[in-house]
Parts: sequence; C-alpha cells; structure tokens
Amino acid sequence: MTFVSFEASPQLFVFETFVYLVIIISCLHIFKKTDALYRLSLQKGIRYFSAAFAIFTVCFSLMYLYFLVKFFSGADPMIGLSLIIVSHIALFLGVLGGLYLAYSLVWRRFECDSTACLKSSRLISMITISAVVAIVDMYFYMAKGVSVNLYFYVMMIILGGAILHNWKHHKRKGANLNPFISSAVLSLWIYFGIFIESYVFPFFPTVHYYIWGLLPIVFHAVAHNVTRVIDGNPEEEE
Amino acid sequence: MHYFTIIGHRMVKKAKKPKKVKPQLKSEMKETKMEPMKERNTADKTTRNSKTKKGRKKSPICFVVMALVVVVLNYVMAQAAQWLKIPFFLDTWGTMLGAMVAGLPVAMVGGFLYNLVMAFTSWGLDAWVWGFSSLWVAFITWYLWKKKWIDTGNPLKMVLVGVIIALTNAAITLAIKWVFFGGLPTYPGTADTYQLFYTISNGSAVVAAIGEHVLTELADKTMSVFVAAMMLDHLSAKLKKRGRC
Repeated sequence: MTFVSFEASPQLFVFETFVYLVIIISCLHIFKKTDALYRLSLQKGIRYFSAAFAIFTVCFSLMYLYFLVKFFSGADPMIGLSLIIVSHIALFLGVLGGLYLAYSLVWRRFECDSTACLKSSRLISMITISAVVAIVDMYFYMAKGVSVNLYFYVMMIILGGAILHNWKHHKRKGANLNPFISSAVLSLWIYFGIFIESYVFPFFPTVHYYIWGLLPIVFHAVAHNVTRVIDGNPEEEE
Repeated sequence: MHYFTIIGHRMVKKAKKPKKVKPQLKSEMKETKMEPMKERNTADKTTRNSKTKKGRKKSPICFVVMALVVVVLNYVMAQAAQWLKIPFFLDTWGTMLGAMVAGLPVAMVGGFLYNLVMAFTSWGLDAWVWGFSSLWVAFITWYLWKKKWIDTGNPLKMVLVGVIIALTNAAITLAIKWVFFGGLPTYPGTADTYQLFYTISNGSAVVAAIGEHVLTELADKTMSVFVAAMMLDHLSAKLKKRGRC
C-alpha cells in the first residue's frame, strides 16, 4: 500500500483509525467475555477461543502502530528495518491467533486429559508453525523484497480443515456450535480477503477499502454474537 | 455447552407460555364454575387484543418522525462515506433499520424522501430516480425480516441476506443507470472500480457497469444490513433493560 502524508489524505487516516479501533475494541470485548465464560464453565474450547482473540488484539494493535509510524514518517529508511520486524511480529501473532481459533474447533479430537493447556505439545507446535511461517516470510521479504504470503495459504488450509471437521461433527452430534463455526468462517474470510487484496492491490488500490471496510463489521458481528450467547437469558428460550 | 444452545435466539418476541394456575380447592371450583371463568377469559382476551391494537396503531406524527429519522440516518452516513471517498454509499442502512423497526410504509417513504433531499441538495435534480432503488431495498428488507432471515445470531445467513439484497438491487440500479445516465458511473467513489472492469474487459462499458455495480452493492448492502440489524439488537437490548420493550 502506498502511504501518503496526513495533510494529503486525512480521509485515509480517519478510515484506518476507525477500522483498527473497531477491530481492537471488538477483539478485546470478545476476549473479556469469553474469558469470564471460561472461568465459569472451564470448557477448554472456550479457553482457546478466548486466547485467539487476545492474540488478535495484540496483533491488530501492532498493525495500527505500524500504520501510524509509516503514515507519519513517510519513506524514512532509518525506521524501515524496525517496521519490517514489527509487521512480522504482527504476522506471527495473526497466524498464532488463527491457529488457536482453529484448535478451539478441533481440540476434543487431539487433546487428552492434560489440564495444563498452555504446556501442551500441540500448543508448542502451533507457536512453532507461526514462527516458521513468519521467519520464512521475513526471509523472502528481506532477500527479494516480496512477501510470499505463505501465512495465507497455511491459515486457509488449517482453518478450512478445522471448519470442515467441526461441521461434520456438529451435524452428526446435532450440537449447536454456531458461534465457534461462524467466527472461524468469518476469520477465514478475513484471511481470504487480505490474501486477495495482496494480489489485486498493485493495479486496483480501491480493493483496500472493500476488504478493510468489511473487517470491522465482521469483528463486530462476532463480538455481538458472543455477547448475545453469554449475556442471553436461557430461561427466555426455554 | 449450555450457553451455546441459545445462539439461535431472536429478538422477535415469542408467545409467552401460559402461566401455571395454582390448583384450587374443589369447593372453590364449584363456586366459580364455568361462566365466570368464561367471562374472565374473554375479558383477558379483549384486553390483550386492545393492547396489541393500541401498540400497533401509529399516529401520523409518529409516522412522520420515523420517516424523518430514516432520512437523517441515511443522510449522515452518506455524507461521511462521500467525505471519506470510500467506494460505498452507506445510504440504505437507515431505510433497512426503518423497515425492521417501523414497517414497510415508513421505510419506503423515508427512503424515497432521502433521495429527493439528496437530489435537491447535492446530486442534482435528475438523481431523484434513485428513489426507486430505495423502495426496493425497503421492500426486500422488510420481506426478509418478516421471514426471519435477518438474525444477527446467524452471521452466515446475514451474509446471504446481504448478497440477495445486493444482487437484486444491483439489477435495479443498473437499469436506472442505463436508462437515465447512459451507463456511466455517477458516484466518484466507485469510478476506480468502473475503470478496473473497463480495463479488464478491453473497453466494454457493459461489463464495466455490471462489475462496478455488483462489487459495490455486494460490499455496501452486506455492510448496511449488518449495521442495521446490530443497531436494532442494541436498541432492543437497551429498551429491554429499561423495561420498555
């Protein structure tokens, strides 16, 4: 994306600030709500779901920081390297959050009785996958100046597989896991949308508005859904 | 898992279960017999009916105020979108909200009025024809709302609703554009999209116009229907907390 100074385009600054703020607040909201629910239910799926959105909060905060620095500093080479590092830490967190979200759908299939979920080898492997993806992408970016978008492929395959697995399981069991599935599908859409943007943007910059304009709605929809699930009055439904 | 069984819940009011009647003594039952019970039931029925009628009856002032609210909501968001130079119109979410809250007539009048206001203030007099698009949006939203398709508890269904509204409305706006404006883009925010499809199709104005309309409407209407439905949920929740709903 070509950044311009604030004086040249205050609209872009307003748009990006609005988008990032809504996303960050929504993620924080989901994290707080689901964390409270986890304390009540001790359901591990909710634990991973909650952790995913905590990670997304940090990820999007870093991305906003990246935008702010780049927006106000222009093309200053002095801060170029630190910006690359910040963007790849954000990428690492983006992948990790997606993996947590996918794992929240399929944890029953993999996990044993271990109570220390953060020490689980599966979670260590998730962190490793994220780190490898971020480092490989960073290597290509430093060497060839082009991002290979490896994380999109990885995330789309893993999240898609998790959704498919859960969908089948959900159909068989007849349980209602709508918030999990819809959040994962919407997150998949986010990865897909940004993936499309990365290829189309060079010759069609307006695509940035189409993709990022819908993101706050997606996150807010998930937050809204989660709030309704947690704050809803079960007696009203019975 | 208990919490996840209630996701399908709607904000639409459901018929309440009949309250349990305390068992009466046999002597008391004899005293009351059937006739008084019958009377009590009819009275209860009439009160409920009259209450419903009273609730549904809208005064002309209420109608006008609601329609004006629709106009203002559409106007504010449209101006914001125009200032931000984003490729969305965002001028139908008020109409959608009006269709869900106040019914079809209010949404239709409000939507059409908004287009007249815009035609007289910033778009130019010819632009009043876009009002027909608002009429359709009001109708289709109201219809899908009545069919219970618009439900924030099911975001994927909401996306489908957005797609239905977008595609049907794209056909109408495309027809209006061809008949009244010669197929050229009339909104500066979507000019880039038109240009993209024009280049891809090797200079075909038809493909460019269709591509521009479909892409813009898909994003715009999906966004609008989500915003309207979530706003309605927030309003309902607040009113419920205050005990007015």
